Amino acid sequence: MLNPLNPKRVSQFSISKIGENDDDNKDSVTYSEKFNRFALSDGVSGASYSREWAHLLTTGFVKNPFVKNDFDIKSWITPLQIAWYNTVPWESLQSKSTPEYMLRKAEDGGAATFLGGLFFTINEKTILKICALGDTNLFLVRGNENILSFPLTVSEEFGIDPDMFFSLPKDVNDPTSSQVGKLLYTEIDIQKDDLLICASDSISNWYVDSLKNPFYKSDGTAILPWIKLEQISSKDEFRNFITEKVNCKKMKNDDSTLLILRF
Amino acid sequence: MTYAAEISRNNPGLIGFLIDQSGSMDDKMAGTNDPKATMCARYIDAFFNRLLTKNAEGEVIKNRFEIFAIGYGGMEKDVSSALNGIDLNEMPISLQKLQQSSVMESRKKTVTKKVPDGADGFIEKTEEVEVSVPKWIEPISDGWTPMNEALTEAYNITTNWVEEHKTSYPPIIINITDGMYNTEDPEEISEELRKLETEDGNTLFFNIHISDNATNAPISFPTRTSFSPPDDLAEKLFRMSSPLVEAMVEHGRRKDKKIDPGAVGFAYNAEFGDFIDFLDIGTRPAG
Repeated sequence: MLNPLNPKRVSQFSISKIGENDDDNKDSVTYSEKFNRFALSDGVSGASYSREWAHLLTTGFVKNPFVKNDFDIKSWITPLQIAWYNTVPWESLQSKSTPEYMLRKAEDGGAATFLGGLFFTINEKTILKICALGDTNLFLVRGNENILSFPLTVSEEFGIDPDMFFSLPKDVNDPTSSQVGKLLYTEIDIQKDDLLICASDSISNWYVDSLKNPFYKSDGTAILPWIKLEQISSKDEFRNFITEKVNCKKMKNDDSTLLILRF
Repeated sequence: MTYAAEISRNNPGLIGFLIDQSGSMDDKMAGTNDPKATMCARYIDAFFNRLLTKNAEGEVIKNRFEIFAIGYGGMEKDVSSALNGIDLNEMPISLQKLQQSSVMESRKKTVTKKVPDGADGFIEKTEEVEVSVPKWIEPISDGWTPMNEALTEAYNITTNWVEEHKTSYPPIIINITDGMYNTEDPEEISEELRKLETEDGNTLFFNIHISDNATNAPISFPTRTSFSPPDDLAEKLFRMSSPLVEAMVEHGRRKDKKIDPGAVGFAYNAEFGDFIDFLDIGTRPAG
């Protein structure tokens, strides 16, 4: 079997929301060229240990991806939940010098959205299989056209309560209670020169808005969102880009993460 | 657009409480069997617990707010810190310092938690545990009601704060009282306090008159046109109060509170439930 197409260029950036320190960033992004896999997860900011949970989801997928639509997700998520449980310093949280609210908040668990992708070949074609839960999105640009937005396609779908995985089951007897919402799958062939963009919700929302209402230059040509994103070459440039969009109210102030693969 | 600044560690907010500690705060609060001073302390403690929970990440507190709490009562012009172990001249304090200044009350509780079952899943485990619940406000009820002096102290703290936090969300200051001030008229200093501003808007000053008399109808978030002042004090506290900002009005409506456009952050003869709703709505930027 041939190897899948390798991207010519990979870039990834992740920053916390403006005004917060970098250690507050609860997003996680992982790309493995060796395994032809990637994952991006956006940890819920209001919960404790969500960053750890998002990291376990992305690294867990890259090590051990699921690809079938009828996959029993419990067998994948439970070991990650146990790993999350073991990262929480319960002994310290239960000490007398720690206020109860910190323990209660940890016991509520973390939560995170998820987007995972896996490249493989069928009949010499590179196929990308994608699974998603929540509002972390993927876009595929071919030529001068955005040919896929997944799982969300329009701005109205980006709400305040996205679907997500929980670091603890809500009901220990219910295998479906480790997530809210339905894990969605799709697949698409990848061709030379394709541009793949994965982004957390604030960037994705801006992207679909920009597709619908592009900004036009004075000569009448549209400035398409992927062009701006692909031009970013450093974390500082990424931060400046996000700051400018947030300041002019084009983007929500949130942790922001971007993964770009140019084939 | 004002009252839109994001509250963050680099751009913190300020929340202040002025707490009447005069003798009459020893009377029972309408709708409860406990003195007003006790209920007031209990619910400001609950507010601090919620605020710290929201801003806790693991075992770390994120300093997204600064806090002051001033008690007024006792002898003629007694104004002091209402927080255990914190001097008035140290205020405002960060959330981390607020946590450090708490007095931990040990309580036994039965809790059910989820733990790994040692095989391939989780089980629920119920056990009795000892937990530490932080408290800050000592219920005090003694002597006079030097509201003007408390407002002057709040004015001094807030003046320095807005100077150092020009881009922050404007300060929110809540005065909780059960009666008539008996030193100088506080209206003028309240006006000066409300004039203090950041680039995002003027200081918000709200007043809650709590009650020991359940027979008079409570009034919450009135407008100028809907408000018929029952007495001179109510009229004065109304005039001293800032209008609610839109996000607070929206939040109140989501909680099924009838709040009209132009509503003012003022409650009169507030019973227990009104008091809690007021704290929730008036401190909405704290989430």
